[in-house]
Amino acid sequence: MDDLRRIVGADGVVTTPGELAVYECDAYTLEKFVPRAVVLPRSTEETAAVVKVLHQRKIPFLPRGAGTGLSGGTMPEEGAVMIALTRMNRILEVDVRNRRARVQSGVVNVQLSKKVAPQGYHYAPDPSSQSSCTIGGNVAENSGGPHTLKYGVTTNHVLELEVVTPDGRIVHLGARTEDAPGYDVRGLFIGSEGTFGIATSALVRLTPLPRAWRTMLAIFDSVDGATETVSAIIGEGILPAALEMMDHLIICAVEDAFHLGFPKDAQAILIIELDGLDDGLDDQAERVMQLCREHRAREVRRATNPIERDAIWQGRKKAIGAVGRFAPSFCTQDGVIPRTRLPEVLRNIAAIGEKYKLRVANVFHAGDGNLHPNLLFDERDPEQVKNVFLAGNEILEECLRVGGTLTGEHGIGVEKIALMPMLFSEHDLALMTRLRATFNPDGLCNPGKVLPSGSRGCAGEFVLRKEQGA
Amino acid sequence: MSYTVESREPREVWVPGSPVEIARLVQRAAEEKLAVVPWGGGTHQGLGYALTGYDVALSTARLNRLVAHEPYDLTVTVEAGMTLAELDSVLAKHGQRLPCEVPHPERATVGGMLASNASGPMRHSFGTPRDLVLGMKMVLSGGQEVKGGGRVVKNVSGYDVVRLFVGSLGTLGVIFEASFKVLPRPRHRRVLRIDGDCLDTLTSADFSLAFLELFWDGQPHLYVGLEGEKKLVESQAKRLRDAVEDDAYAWLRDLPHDHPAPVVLKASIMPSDVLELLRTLPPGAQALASAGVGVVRLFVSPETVPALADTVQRMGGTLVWERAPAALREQISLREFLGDSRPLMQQIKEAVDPAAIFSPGRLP
Repeated sequence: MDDLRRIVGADGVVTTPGELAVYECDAYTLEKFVPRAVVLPRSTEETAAVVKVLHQRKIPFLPRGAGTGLSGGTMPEEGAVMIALTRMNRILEVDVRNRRARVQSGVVNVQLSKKVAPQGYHYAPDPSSQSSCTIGGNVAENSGGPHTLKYGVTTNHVLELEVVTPDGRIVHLGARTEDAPGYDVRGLFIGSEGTFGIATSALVRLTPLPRAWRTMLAIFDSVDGATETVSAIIGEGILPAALEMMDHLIICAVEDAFHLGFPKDAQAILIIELDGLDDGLDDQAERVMQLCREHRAREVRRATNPIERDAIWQGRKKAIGAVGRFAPSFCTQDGVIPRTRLPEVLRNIAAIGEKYKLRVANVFHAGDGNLHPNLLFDERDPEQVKNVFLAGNEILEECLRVGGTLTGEHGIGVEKIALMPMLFSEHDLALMTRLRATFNPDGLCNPGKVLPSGSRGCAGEFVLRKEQGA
Repeated sequence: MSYTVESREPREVWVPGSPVEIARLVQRAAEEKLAVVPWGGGTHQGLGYALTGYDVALSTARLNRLVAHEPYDLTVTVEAGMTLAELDSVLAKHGQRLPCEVPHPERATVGGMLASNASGPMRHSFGTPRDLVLGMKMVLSGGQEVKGGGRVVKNVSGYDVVRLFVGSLGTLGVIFEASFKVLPRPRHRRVLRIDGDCLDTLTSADFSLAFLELFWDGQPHLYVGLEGEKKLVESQAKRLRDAVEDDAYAWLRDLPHDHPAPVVLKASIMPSDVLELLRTLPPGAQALASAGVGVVRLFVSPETVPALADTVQRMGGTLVWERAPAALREQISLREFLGDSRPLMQQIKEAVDPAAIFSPGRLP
């Protein structure tokens, strides 16, 4: 600890139990563990020096941004030191002409967009947690958000990463310019969930803010009507900037919390946003509204000014927070399925909820098939907790059954490790293990995440990690 | 078809008909210590650093089926030996397309496009194959079949092996199948030429261009691509003064392959540095730039290379070979543009191809 204090200063090392408790989990609250210590460096050099010390002593460590992760990626293993990047929050460079910005990993996602908005730009990947999550965390998870349908995910917007490797060296992955020569080690690092090293800064693309938007809200009396509309819009050759769906429970939660005028008897709401240059947008919007009505929308509203547009998005971005009104705890799932299987899968998810006596509130990126079923429960009741694990697993098995995948945004973390063998063969996992070993040969950087090892459970069984004494 | 690479001929050409056959052949190569170069349409075999061995060309010509096209999911899955032209005609049946271009789509294959991360004018609006591929299946040097990604557009399960293989120039394994996200075909399209350099206007957010190519022959000539709803195309065309209709798209797309220059390099620099780089070229040298992204094909003669490398280095960009005689590649390295992650790349090559059979020397 003294070595670490010498590097980051006495106020950069947290060891008192009360303060450490804050770091015991991220937004995946089903598993908790308090780190041995938390170190808060202020620069890349400090980060590298800290990692060198830990590496020399063979002490496991892991990076953390804002702790908004939903798969337990920042849950420490026993004895691990957490390296929190939150003090490295400076925007280092903005080059509007070349549409690039360089930021430290601790910069909050929405702060970057706010900084370049006056010049007509934004940082496109916009997770719903963007007012808290950090760019470093986005890199670790390859984060998406509602606009990925048109704009892509983090890997499509990061050009270069400055990375501290697990043995404390500083390397640059990618390049400041396009088409970096050699292997796409930058692409391999993105989404590696903090198991390949620590990204300390990123050079990212800036995207012009669209000149115009058309944002619509369609209200349906049935989930099927909403999901059929999604397919119809895509089939028409229209690619919205965003296409989001919320079901009955979420609508009620959001309306009670924010009074945005959402009808509480609706079974599903679609938010559809088109963007681009103004010419031609009205024609597209008309076509979209027509399609909604053809598929039994009860009502279609269109925002006529930025305030109305913001109100529509408020309802979506705060949806998961609003769900807290209905239950003390919730677990957000993250499976992806082919869009065309939405109606069938949503029906099966409802059935799984009934089987385990759990209410399920669905809000998700319908345009890209990325589901977020929220299982509502009370974590003080071990029977409900067990049911949440079982229901969650069944939902993901359902996603795989229809040709989908385990996670679209939240990552594998600890939450889904046991399911990896359902999606990947032993050769696939062996390749990933070898790749991890090239970055992290001693296995000290964020151990116990992403890849199953002998010691972690098997599918169908769960073990609630013990909480350390308070 | 000729299987020559940098004046080297292979001893044999293998043409497997299935992934299982690929695996058997690859295992044989590992046992007999043969250097294998995976082969699609042969349009991009000039990329990378100098090959240090070449015994066998492994062609994907027989692996050219459509596996699945799901128009309402906007995804398509094909075997790697399918040509880009064939893929385009499959997607056109449902009014869709994959906006990835390579020179000579009637020869170039999907697998080759992925291995080279090749792109053309449309990268201005849609990016490169790396941005459009969803999943991939490969055979590694131990004969194992592996996959990365899947058939859905959002996927962060496990490590991003797909991104690693894209652009790996046939040095990590044999890609035999891939899935892509596809997009609607535009209803209207126009290509206009402007003889001038009004780049600042055209790269501003007041325009939404499909592509912006700059051909240099001592003077800048801009080719602007407009696509989409009729109103959108026409209103933008009206705002382009001094523009004439010139549908040179196919010429622009094929030029990186067809240009007769002895040496072709690709420089990646800041878009704001493009004109400055072009002005350093000697008379007679030509270039084709995707001006909005700063990627420049340079059509030059060998003696120009060292000065170009210095200029690009000074500008903080990168430079790679696209066509050059083997002797030149050995004389001038260009490996310094790999940066400080080169040791990591070497470790990855050793980890993924421990038998060292795939396109040795080409990367890193």
